[in-house]
Amino acid sequence: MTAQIQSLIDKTDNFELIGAEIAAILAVETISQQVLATAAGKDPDLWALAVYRERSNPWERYLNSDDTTPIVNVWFDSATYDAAASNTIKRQKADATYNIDCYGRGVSQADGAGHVAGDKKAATEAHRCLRLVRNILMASQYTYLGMQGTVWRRWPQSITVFQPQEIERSAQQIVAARLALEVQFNELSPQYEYETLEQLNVSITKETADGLVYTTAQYDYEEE
Amino acid sequence: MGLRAQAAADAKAILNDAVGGAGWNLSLFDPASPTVAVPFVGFVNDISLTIDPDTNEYVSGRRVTVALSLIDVEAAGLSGMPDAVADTTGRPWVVEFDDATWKVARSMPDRTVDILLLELEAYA
Repeated sequence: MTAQIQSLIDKTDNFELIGAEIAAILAVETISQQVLATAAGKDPDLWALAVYRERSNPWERYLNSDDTTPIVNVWFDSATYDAAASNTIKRQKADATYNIDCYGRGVSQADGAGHVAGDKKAATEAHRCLRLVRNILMASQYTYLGMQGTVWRRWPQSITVFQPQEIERSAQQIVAARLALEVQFNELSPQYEYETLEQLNVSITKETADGLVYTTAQYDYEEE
Repeated sequence: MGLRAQAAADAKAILNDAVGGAGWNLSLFDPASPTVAVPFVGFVNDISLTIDPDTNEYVSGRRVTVALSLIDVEAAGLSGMPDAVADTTGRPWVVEFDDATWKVARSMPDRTVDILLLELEAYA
């Protein structure tokens, strides 16, 4: 058996590009939102997100710091292909799920005669993060995630807020939430590279006295 | 002295030994008088812990606890047994040691040998 694909597969698939695009949109828009919040006289930290993509090491951002900026991790989960909306040669229509995980941290603190509860704060931080992520990605400006022609549609498939594990209580209060974003898009595959065989000239003329030319076609070919 | 009372006295002696043992000086703040530091000597643990937020990706955390003798706690004249205060209109029980401040998040008394284990969380 000899290899049939004669060109190097040196490209990025659309599922990779879309994952990167989702993370880039969130990163750019959260910075923009902080600028807008400052201009509106509001605390910009409430619009801050720390955006990452495809990370799997344990999050240690909260371990030795007072930082409570929510963490966002965008990661590709799965894709299925719709044969009815594809063609067998070049284009496969993919229905993919991207998980966008939000981690909120809450720190208990004194508040007048009372206090702010860290467990509740962690949950509301995760909710705030979800709110920003969903609003940014579902904004009409991102109907096609900036990839019109490739992306058919994006849709928030589900939102899940996970219950904190309390078997051994941690000094940090952490709550995680997940937005599962469904994205439908085209995935393209390498194609047969045609070769020019020969050149033909064809003229079609009317068999009358005027000899009017109706059409002319030219086919390139290489001479031996 | 019965065996149980002897065990409680031994536990107190061990927890209070800050010179030759692992006892640690700390302060407890009663919500009834939140500016008054009540001194204790007990055990302090601060060890790493993996937090599982159910995303299949973990968050590195810490588990911080203190262990006090219930004999000391009862003798301190506190307004009650230190525990987690859920009501945010009131102050929580607060523990301070090594310039760090913690809120009591769970109280686990062991009345067999009179030890009070307090699980703590970060408090700013």
